[in-house]
Amino acid sequence: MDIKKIKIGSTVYSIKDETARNDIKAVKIPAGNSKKPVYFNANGVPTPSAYTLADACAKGVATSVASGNTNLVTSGAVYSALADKGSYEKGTWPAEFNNGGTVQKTATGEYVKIGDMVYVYVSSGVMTTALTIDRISGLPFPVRNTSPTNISALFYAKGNTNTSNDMKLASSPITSKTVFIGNASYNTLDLWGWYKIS
Amino acid sequence: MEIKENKTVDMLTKDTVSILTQKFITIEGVDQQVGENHRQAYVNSEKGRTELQEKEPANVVDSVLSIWGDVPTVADPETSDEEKG
Repeated sequence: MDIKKIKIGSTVYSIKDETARNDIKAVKIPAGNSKKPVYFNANGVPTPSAYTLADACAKGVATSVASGNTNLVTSGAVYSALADKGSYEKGTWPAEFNNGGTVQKTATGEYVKIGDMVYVYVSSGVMTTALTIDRISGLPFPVRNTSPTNISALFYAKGNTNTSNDMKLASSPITSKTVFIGNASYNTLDLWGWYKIS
Repeated sequence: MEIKENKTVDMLTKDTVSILTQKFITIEGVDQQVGENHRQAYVNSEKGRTELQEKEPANVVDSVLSIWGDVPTVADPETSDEEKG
């Protein structure tokens, strides 16, 4: 029984079902026979009409994906699984290097969010004149309120200061978007760390 | 080619919010993002509310304040308590 015809180069072959022999074979078809494209059904099985290969692939991902739909899956079990396990986002945040409440310098920080954990980094760059900095604000997400322990963030700040070059453990109050690093004079200041949200 | 800026009010609670800013161009009817995501958090404190109004467009401010109401729920930290490094 012929299952389908395929074309390799300029030659057309008929695929034959040889179930009794536990085999299939391709038979060359003489030139001049009608040629039709191969279609697949929703389960990816060749069928005389209805679906293209792309349709069959899309149907294999989620039955909610319509033919020609290029959007991501936005509902159903696949979406729920991705939202729960694979939530990932990266981007930038507007860091402000402050002293007291006064902005001394701004820079663009980077963040990566995986699930409900956020990893951040920012560098002040080289400041031609040493500046006194006691906090960095502008975090992309607020730090989670973990009362009563109040521990949900870990930051390190490393500065090239006039007086020391120590690494500092920085802290952020709960329900905040600001990291406090302790008052010091810096020529450069980098901050990196992670915290929990929601 | 026009660049559209989309603002998303995300993770809005009575105490905090994170505003996601994305830029798009439209190619053959399909929006394509250009550049990176950009986020900033705001806290429902006196200072946070002021920052929100200074940095975000009116429709974003209105939607956030509709949940936050008229009264801050978070106190801005005192300077003496802040310097923990």
